[in-house]
Amino acid sequence: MRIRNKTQLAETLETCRPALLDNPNILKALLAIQSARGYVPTNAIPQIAQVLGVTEAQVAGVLSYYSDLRTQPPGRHLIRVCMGESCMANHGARVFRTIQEYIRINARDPTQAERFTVEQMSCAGNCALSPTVMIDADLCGRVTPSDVLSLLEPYR
Amino acid sequence: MNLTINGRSVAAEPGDTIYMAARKAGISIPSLCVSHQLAPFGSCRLCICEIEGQSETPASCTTPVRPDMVVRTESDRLRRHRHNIVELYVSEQPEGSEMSGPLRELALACGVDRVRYPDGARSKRASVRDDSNPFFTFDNAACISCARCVRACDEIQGTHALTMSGRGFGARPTAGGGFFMGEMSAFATSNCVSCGACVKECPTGALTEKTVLEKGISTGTVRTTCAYCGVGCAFDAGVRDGRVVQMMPADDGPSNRGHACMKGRFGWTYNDASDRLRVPLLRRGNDWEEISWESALDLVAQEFMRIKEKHGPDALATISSSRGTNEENYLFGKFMRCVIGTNHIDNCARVCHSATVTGMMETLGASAATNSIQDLDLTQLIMVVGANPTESHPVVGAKIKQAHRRRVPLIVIDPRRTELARLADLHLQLRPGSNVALLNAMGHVLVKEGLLDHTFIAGRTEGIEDWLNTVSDCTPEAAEVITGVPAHLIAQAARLYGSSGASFCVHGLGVTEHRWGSHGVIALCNLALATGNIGKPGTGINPLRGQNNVQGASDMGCLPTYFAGYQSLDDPKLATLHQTITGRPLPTKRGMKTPDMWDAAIAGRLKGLWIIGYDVAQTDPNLKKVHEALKHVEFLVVQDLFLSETAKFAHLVLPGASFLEKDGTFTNLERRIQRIRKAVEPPHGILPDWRVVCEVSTRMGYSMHYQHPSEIMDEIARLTPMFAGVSYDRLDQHAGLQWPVPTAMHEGTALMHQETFPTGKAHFVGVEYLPPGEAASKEYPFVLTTGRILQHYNCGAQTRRTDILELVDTDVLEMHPVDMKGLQLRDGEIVRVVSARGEALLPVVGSERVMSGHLFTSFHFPASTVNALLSSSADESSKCPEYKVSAVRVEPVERDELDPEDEAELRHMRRQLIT
Repeated sequence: MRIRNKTQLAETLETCRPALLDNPNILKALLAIQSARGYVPTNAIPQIAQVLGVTEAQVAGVLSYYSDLRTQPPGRHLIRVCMGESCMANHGARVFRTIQEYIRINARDPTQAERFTVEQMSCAGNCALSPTVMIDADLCGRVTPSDVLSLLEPYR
Repeated sequence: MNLTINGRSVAAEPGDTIYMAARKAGISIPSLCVSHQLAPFGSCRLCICEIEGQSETPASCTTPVRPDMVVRTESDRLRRHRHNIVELYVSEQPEGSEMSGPLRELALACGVDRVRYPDGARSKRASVRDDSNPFFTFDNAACISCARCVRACDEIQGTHALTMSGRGFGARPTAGGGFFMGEMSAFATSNCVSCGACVKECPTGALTEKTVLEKGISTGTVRTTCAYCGVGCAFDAGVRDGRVVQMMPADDGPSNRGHACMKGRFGWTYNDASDRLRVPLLRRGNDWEEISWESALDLVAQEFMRIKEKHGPDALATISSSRGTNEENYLFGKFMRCVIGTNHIDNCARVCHSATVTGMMETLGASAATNSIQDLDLTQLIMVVGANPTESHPVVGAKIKQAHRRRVPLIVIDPRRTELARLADLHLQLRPGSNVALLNAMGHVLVKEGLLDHTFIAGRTEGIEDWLNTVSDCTPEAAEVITGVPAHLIAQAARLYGSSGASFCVHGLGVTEHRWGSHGVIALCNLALATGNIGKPGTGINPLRGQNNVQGASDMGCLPTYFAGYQSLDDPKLATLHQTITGRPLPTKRGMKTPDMWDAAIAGRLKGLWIIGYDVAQTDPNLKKVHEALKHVEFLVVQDLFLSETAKFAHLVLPGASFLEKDGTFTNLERRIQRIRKAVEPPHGILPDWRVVCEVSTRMGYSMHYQHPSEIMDEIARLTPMFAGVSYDRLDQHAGLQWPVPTAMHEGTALMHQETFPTGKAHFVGVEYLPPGEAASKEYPFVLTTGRILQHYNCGAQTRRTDILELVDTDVLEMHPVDMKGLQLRDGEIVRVVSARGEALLPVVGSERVMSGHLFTSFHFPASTVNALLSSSADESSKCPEYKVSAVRVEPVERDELDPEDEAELRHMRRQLIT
């Protein structure tokens, strides 16, 4: 589910409006927007600040700090490659580079440009089966660079 | 408790950190991120220490003390660590540039002369430079990300305009949403109020004043007192080559404790403005002729003598300056009373807090803040009535916000949704002019719910019956009809105020500048008396005085009804003393108040007028009448820094010396008499005002000779029991004295009325609600209120000559968006505001700070002639004008009615950010 317009952003924000005498929860609001919209549009910072009763600086500070908060719209599918110690030791970085390469070549086709976004993650807790790649909510273990093509193919 | 630091036994309080305990004992520990103005943070790691029984090296600034702990702050290991940490900091500094401030000293102290990381973090610091603030710059290259600036903005100023952005090597302070929306202009687009707290805290010079960048670092400092609002912030004026380069708020300043606001911190550059008056100017038709000081002084003496001989002393008057020093004000009073022989002297307190003087005199017997600013640290509840301290008295405003952060309840009674109103636990948004109805209804609730302090009432007051009778039928429901405030909110406010334990009340011109302003003050005093909220720490009635020395000008007897120290003019003992000390009798007949002077001038009774540092032709209400009166005066002398609107009417204009160019004292809003000290020489041999009076007086046959203002103060002390213990020696020793100071041994009075009131007991005075002088009508459907904004100060003569103009360069009419829609107006459109007296052209901006049907504007720019709209309606007893209620209508302006200049203005107009 993604919000397409401003009214919907306002609706999401409304659920985060602090109750009387309650402290505003900036992080919670940003996560709510991200989960509804896939990312936090930076031009919404003034509106977020207004609803929460905080300043723009306070919103921007939180938004810039957490790597999990995105300010750009992600692709249709989010690939996260684990960079924890175990995955790193098992060539997770090589897997990451292969995926990046795949996406780069893929993006030459304009219809595929918004298909994937790839990010690094710290530890997926899947160390026994490292290296780990998560595609949306699907967990894949023991991934090698040669698996990448067949792994990503089904996600259109 | 005791602990051992570096082998010494040191006393500490529970809750202290090791760093604080060491500091109290005079042991200094190196640090960058520590500031005693801020909560412990522990980011720079330089203040590390060794604690016996612990192997690691914790930061002393965040480690609480324990009894009998043994701490070392110096050892080989600590020195090695510190050296390495400083080296890392230095590695982030721009190559080849000269470091400034504490980091440079630390590098020297730790012996860091080279950096082992040639390509250290320097390349990783984003190159960010923000010059968008008019007063200071931010350069990320010199920043060490200690977050002192961010913490200063949060903890001291409470504006939260800054944040740390990003992570790791990328972490840096940014203003507003600048990290995402443009860091080059982050300060300008943020809600920063340019108080300068961040610049003061910065240990590396990443944030630096532009004046320092332009003129260089100061080579010496002079302690003085700010000449803007009545808070009386202590500043160290940084001087270099005979010019001021910086104004730095003093940490030991009794009223500001190291804080300041935009005006005091950065708005002093008018001192070097190119259009400062340099020589006396004599009117020749429509031209000015420059004349010498000698002939100017001769002329004043000659004309005043002529008028006195021909028309008698009552044909002469002076309006003294609330911005001048106490000594100058006293001398003007002395001049009028001893040389001319009349009490026709007034000062601009007339148009701001004269209703406070009347109202507080009648109830408490003394007309000044009962408590001190630092009582805001002790209070259990703050009630702000008709005041907007975050803009008009920003340092007090910041203090109130600090208290609110500590969860001290805040009640705001104001027609506007000001910054404090938005923060407040209760905002009673009443209709302008209905204060008395609301305050009486609060009294009604206090009585009904048994919240009165009967012990206090019985022992310290009289006349409660009068008040009980008055409030008995003032139910909150009845008040709701008059004020528009829901009855349950009024009741809740009363309960909070009456039961907090210590309720501190501040009020401003929203109480006084009304048709029944002194009644508003009386109603407020009644509440304090009924609940015993007076004479105790953290309580009281505290008027926020608008100008640096408006308290002092009144204290010094620049009033037509009182001599210095509010002594009665017909007091026989005073008369004898006056005769002995001055050699002249004290005139007993009451003089004219400023509005009476206008009537007298128009009627031809007032022939000569001397106005010092007060722009009546811009700031007094009903400007048409004031202008007419000024034209009628035969000989008008105006003394000012600039050719003000009033000076344009003068026959003779005398240049004045600014507060940076003379010695003297100011009295702030908490009755604290503080020194101002000459930091630089006045340009072109300008005489300070006190010398001018002496010269004129001597020329008129009454010799006045003082070597230094301190001698004037000594004379004041002899004449005025309340200042008897004041002398310059003591003022220098004690960082000021709060009057009354009855003897040379007396320490001054931080808290008034502790044991008794000046009149013995305080008086309740029942005051009924009476409607304001004007109400909205079919023809004039809006109620206009005028006031100040943060950026500018009164007539704007000073602030308009500084870089503050980059922020705000016009007065703006604030109108509720609903009304904007109704009139089909757009933001920034120029409209005509029309009252029964006159009209003004102003750009309109939609703002939810005002209610529908209510308008607000400031009066800082002469071009807007806002005061032409206002009536001569004034408080019955004090003649304090009704600035806060004028019925007006708003009309669109056709484009072809605007002259090309206005058009240009419209195009260039910067829309004031209203948040």
